[in-house]
Amino acid sequence: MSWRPYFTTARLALREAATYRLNHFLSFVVAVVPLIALLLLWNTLLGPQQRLAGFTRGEMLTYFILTRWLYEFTGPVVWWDIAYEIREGDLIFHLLRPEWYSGYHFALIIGSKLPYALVGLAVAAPFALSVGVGWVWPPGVAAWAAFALSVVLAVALAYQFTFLSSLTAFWLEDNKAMNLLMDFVVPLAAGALLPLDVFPSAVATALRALPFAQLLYFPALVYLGRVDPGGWWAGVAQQVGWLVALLVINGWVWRRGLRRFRAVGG
Amino acid sequence: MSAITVRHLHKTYRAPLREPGLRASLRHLVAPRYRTVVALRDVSFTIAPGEAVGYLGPNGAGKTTTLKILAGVLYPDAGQVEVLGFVPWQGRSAFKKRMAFVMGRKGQLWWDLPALDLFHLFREMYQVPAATFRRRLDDLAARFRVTDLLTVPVRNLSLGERMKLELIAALLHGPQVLFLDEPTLGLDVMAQHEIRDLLRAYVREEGLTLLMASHYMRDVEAICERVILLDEGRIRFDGPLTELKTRFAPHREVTVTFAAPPPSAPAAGWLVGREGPRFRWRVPRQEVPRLLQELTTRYEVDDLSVQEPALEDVLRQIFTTDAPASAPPAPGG
Repeated sequence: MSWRPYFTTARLALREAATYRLNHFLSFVVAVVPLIALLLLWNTLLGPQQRLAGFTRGEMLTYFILTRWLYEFTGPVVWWDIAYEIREGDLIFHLLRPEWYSGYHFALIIGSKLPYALVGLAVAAPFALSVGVGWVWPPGVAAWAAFALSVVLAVALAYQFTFLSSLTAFWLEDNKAMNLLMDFVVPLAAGALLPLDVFPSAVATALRALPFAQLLYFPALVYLGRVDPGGWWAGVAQQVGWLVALLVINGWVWRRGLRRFRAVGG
Repeated sequence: MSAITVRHLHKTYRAPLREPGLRASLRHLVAPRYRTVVALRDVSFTIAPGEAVGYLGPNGAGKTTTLKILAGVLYPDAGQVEVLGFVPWQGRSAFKKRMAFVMGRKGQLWWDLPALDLFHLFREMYQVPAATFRRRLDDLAARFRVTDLLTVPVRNLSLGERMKLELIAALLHGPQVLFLDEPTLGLDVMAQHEIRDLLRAYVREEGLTLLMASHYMRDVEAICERVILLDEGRIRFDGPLTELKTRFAPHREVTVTFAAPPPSAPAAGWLVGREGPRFRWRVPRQEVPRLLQELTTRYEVDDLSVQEPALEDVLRQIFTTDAPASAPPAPGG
């Protein structure tokens, strides 16, 4: 299999996304407003010397800003394009071509989200500066590399969740419930709003055992240098394990779904 | 050897039954009810390499379902299908690289980007060598007169222009078998005519095997030598287009305008219309020469015409009567 078509797909998605410049500006505004509000809240709740669940004020603000930005890539969603193609029958074009469907949409997501991630970086950077000396950087090159690898695996894992939730369109005429799950429950379980350590111990332990923690919480802790080498290997092993499990599940669901596919509207 | 072989193909769908009203909606949640729709019943035919076949039938006859099974995007319930030696629904890349499917109702080009960008993506997917791609693209763009449109975002093109580019997208990898589903749907008369001519020339020159479903009989008449009639999932006729008319429309319509009103009209077939000196008869085909001879020798005639019934009329007659259409054995199988 050649990877070139998928690089081209990502490039085309980036080009297509770049045609909607007003969207990016609006997404900038939409991202900035709640970020200001939440940072003000954290500043009010946590004094410079205070800690919350073992996190200093600087760590908490770094975690918060970092995860807000990372979630653009490591947050699973119901990918509307897949759900639409299944429901409306446009999946037929992909089945006709010698194409790896899952890879095609992964490339589309990466390409189309890149401008938003760059806008997000532009939003996050001034806030990171506003945190000042409290802002936390990974402690060294090895920590940066460990963080980068955990993010790459988180992105791959998130996409497998995205693909799985989108494939439910083979069975569900309406994915709204799945959307709600992805928009509200998964971010909480992934540690997008708060580090899982903030939750009561039993809840935190349960959430850490779920795969969603590997999407955001684990990479963010690696960034903050709060994971020792043993913990990092264990975390990466979990990421790989969940990834393999989801690849197997998705393959099975895809084949079952194709049996149900009616290719309507042609 | 056949390019396409279909034997005893069956396909049913299960469609949910939704009655109106809140109570019925709630009942459907708990105990959904379904009806089974039979799309194809024991359909068999073969198509030789290079043959162009029209696939005709009323809405819901099963035409598109057949095409989708042959293209490998639907699984049949029973039956055997081989296209170029492949079982389509096994989804092998080697098969996909040798066939194409174009639908008049749907397009695969991206709305916001020029078609050329997508053509390059498809070149990579189908692994077409760059030189071959360039040659084919230049040829197709020139034939379809769209060279200037390749770099225009698709959203800015007319329906006819988009259809031409969709056809190019489907032909760039050099398929041997082409499935067309209503390729001129929604186009104006000029665009229909143009696309029909382009397709006819391309299919003949390249020796493509073609199976085309269409409601526009002119598409079929222009491009196909053979037709398969499908009705309620069954084949009702399979044979040359000329035979279809001979078998199901054994009459011709003879219209004559006399120079002066005749004292008595010649006896032939059925007189179906009379307006002043203008008479119309429906005449059995074999009686036409005798009638023409009588008209030209015994009467003073201003104008005379003999018309074959339009294919639309023939089909309407077939599909609105319950008379068995007596499907002959498919040519070559």
